[in-house]
Amino acid sequence: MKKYTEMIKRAAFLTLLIVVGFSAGVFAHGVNTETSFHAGVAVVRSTYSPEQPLADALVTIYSPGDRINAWQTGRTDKTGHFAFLPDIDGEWIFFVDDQKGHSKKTAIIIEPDKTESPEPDATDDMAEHDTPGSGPGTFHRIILGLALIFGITGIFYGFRSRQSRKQIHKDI
Amino acid sequence: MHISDGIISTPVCLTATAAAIGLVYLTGRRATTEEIPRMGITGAALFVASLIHFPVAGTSIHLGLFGIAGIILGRRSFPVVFTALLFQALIFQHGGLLTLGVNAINMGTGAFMAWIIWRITAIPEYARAALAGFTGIIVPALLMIAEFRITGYGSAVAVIALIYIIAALIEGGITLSAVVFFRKVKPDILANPVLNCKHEKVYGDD
Repeated sequence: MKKYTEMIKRAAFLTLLIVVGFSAGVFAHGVNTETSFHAGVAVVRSTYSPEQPLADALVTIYSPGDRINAWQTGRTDKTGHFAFLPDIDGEWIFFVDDQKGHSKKTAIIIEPDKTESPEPDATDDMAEHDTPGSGPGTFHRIILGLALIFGITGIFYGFRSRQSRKQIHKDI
Repeated sequence: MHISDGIISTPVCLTATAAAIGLVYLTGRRATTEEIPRMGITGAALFVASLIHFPVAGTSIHLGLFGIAGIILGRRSFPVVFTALLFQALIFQHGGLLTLGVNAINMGTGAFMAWIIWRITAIPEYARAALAGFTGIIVPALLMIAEFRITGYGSAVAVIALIYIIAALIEGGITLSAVVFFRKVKPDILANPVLNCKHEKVYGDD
């Protein structure tokens, strides 16, 4: 019993250290997005600076009516393009993440008469989210998930071993 | 493998989630102090495994490790699969929260079937291991295809099975390697404690 308790304590301490140690975030080169519209389809091209496409990056799109549940998820193609068909007007959120510490959130305004407008002001970049690596990267998320899993394991282990000890006292 | 929200109808998803929570309780209750750390470590491996992608036939597939989970944990693998899927959905948006129950039942069944195969001692151990790994992926894939068909998708979804056959073969190889490794370094991990826990009364190990 002591051996396992000691093991769990060490794992929890190490996990805590790792989470605190890496919470500063990873900063590297930035991400740029460029939006254009073709027959109602919004096409977003994501690139690193300078002009290097974000290929196979994770894309999450939120509709104007729901900022919690993703409306669509997918990945950019080799040239960093991702296309989607907005079904309602309003401010859509386009979130691209290369899962290596670079991400960007962009607000895309869909207006009633916007069917063909490759205007440069078609996107409204959300400056407060534009800092590269501002979203948690894959590594941070993995650490977070592992910390939660080991934390839950520790709680159940503690609870179960306490029950066992009580049972021993009862039997004695 | 992970079904996203919006594909399966909401009543089916909610029913499956209720059933999955019930199964988590039934298969997870009375877990011993020896099993809980093992469940935690297997859960962590399952959580991370889904992030290891490799390209197959124009798309990408990822590891599941349900066969290994079934071999190591037996019926205790269900709560572990459920927890790993929950955090995959919450942290990586991999799958969906509404479809959590459907996904847990699909993949938990895969792990459970792998455990059943692992128990057939008439088959040589290494063949059992590879078969358990294969089953751990192909069973959830077949369940997923069946659910898609019931939902109303055409017969074309059966093509998914071809991709998952490749994934299952890879998984079978990985499970076999893991069993060979465990047999060498820690053979007691392959002797599933759950097999003997029907009337157990474990007070701890110190």
